[in-house]
Amino acid sequence: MASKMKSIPKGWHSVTPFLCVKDAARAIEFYSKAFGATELQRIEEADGKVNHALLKIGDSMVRLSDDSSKHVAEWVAKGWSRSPQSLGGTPVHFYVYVEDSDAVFKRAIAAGAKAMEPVTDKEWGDRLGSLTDPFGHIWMIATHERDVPIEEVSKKRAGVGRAAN
Amino acid sequence: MAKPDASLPTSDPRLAAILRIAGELRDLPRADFRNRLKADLAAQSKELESVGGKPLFTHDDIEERLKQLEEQPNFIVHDVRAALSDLPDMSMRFLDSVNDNHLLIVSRGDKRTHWERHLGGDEMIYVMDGETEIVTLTDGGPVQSTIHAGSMFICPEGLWHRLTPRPFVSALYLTPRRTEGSEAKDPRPKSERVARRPVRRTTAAKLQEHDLRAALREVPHLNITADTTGEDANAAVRNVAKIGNLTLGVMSYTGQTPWERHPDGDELLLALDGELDITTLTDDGPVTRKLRAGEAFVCPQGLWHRQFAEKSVSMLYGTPVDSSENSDADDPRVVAEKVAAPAAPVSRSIMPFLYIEGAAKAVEFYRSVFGATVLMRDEEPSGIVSHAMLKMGDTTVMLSDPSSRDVKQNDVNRLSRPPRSYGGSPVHLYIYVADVDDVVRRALAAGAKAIDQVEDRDWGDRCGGIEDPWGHVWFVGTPLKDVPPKDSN
Repeated sequence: MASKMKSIPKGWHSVTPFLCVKDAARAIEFYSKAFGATELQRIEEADGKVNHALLKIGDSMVRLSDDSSKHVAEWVAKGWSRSPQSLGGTPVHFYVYVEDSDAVFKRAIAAGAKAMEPVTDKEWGDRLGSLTDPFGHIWMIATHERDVPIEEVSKKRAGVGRAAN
Repeated sequence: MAKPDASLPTSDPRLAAILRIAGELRDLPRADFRNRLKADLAAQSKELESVGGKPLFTHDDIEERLKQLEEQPNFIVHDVRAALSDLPDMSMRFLDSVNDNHLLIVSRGDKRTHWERHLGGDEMIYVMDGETEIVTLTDGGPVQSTIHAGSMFICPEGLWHRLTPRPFVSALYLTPRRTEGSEAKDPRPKSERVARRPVRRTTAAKLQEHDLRAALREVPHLNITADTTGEDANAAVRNVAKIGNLTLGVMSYTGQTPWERHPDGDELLLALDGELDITTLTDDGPVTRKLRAGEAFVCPQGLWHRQFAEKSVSMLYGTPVDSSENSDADDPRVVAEKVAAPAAPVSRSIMPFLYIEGAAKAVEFYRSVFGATVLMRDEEPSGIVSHAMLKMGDTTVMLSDPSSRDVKQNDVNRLSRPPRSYGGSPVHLYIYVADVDDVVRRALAAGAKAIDQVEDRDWGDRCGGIEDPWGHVWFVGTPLKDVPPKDSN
């Protein structure tokens, strides 16, 4: 009998995002500079377009593909993937924990990201800022500073909502 | 149900279509249910009249059933004996549907039925009153079984069978939607009529009656206290049979059960003796009803419920196999776990944050399809889930509903919108699960769209792609074998 199958290969998490970007080569550069991403794999097509690449940011894998690659062309034909720039936005944002959200935020802005919300302390215990990267993907950069019980977070958030009415 | 339903003989081959309609409609939203039921049954009536049949429901019955559903969404207790009491002989009444493939039906009669067989699952026949003989046509020849009041018979899928009441029988059925009837003397083709081998022992054993009260005597009565463990509870259950994805078992107990829900399917509850209070956590809040001896309840998939028996109660449960979650919390919908030490529980991995119009329903979808657990769920008074945190495997995934007040107030630049508002998503999510085929099948059944077939892929996973009902794209994967850490080629 085969041994019990592991459902997650070592080094991976249950959920891994796959990003479609315009100019993947430049995006890899940006993610390396801003978020300290390590490039683990890059598959280029004949014309140098990034078919797909595998990056590691913190302890997480991220895959990305160039929206003018053959890889993406196949998807676009099926109607289900384009870059944020051609779609006009993105319905999926990313919440990322880093050692020092102020420093990472600053580096990202210096590398061309646009600030959405400056870094501030949040009631759920994270110090957090949001930005749009030069390719239209949206990141929430956080450092965890103190523990707040989840039910208390709910209460506080609800309180904020009511106060603003 | 005051009025009798228009009757049809139990084995009328035209019945299957009507039952299918009634069953399929149960899960639709209320307004849709009303419109569809009327339209479908009107069409069905015409069709039936043209072939000389009679509709199962009259318009008055439809109105009455709709009224019930509107008053008690998700929660109708069926008084099986009352449903039988005013039913004309040799007729049946539809009570409910159980999961995608079975219908809960009562029927009574004093005459031999036509031949009938069911496709897509076994049939449960539980004799409430009277007694019946059941003849099944097996490979090894006809087998005759006698089923007494209080006993259950499981008719295996595809076997022709007929009932001969002695002298009358009233019964509760869990019947597969697909039914064939025959008025022939022997419904099988000639070539299959000769017994070619003896009846297999397993088949013969299955075709015995299961006396539920005798089964109850084989297990101890459970007195539920604060110290009762899951093992104590399991030891008090006597499983009787399996039908479809339901395990049929009996149990007798006193006390308060913990909250329970079944993400993979509906559960059937039938009170055999005694009574209990059953509470469900519906969208409109907790609702409690009494379930008395002879009453049945179909608890919808995923709905939290618990039961309290002041005095001893004996129950028959049809519980989805391997799919039960329990909670001792006051409200199991909110997991009030504290975020403990910073290092371990706070996920260091990238957490996708999905914008979803109708996040409340999406939470249910991710829960039942991906097995996600809810870490946090903020609901506005309107019922809109402004923010939820789910755990999928080892990854935290967050959701927000763009139509919530919370998002509207904070998102001045309108950057938090659902996929369909952009016409797609530039992000796909790859999720590892234990059984990709099962997860994709359930996703499609729950309304997702297939975008890439499940296949063995050259990167070492078996993988398929779906677009969930809200437009987010997921690739679902299971490693083909126990893989070492992926290297960078």
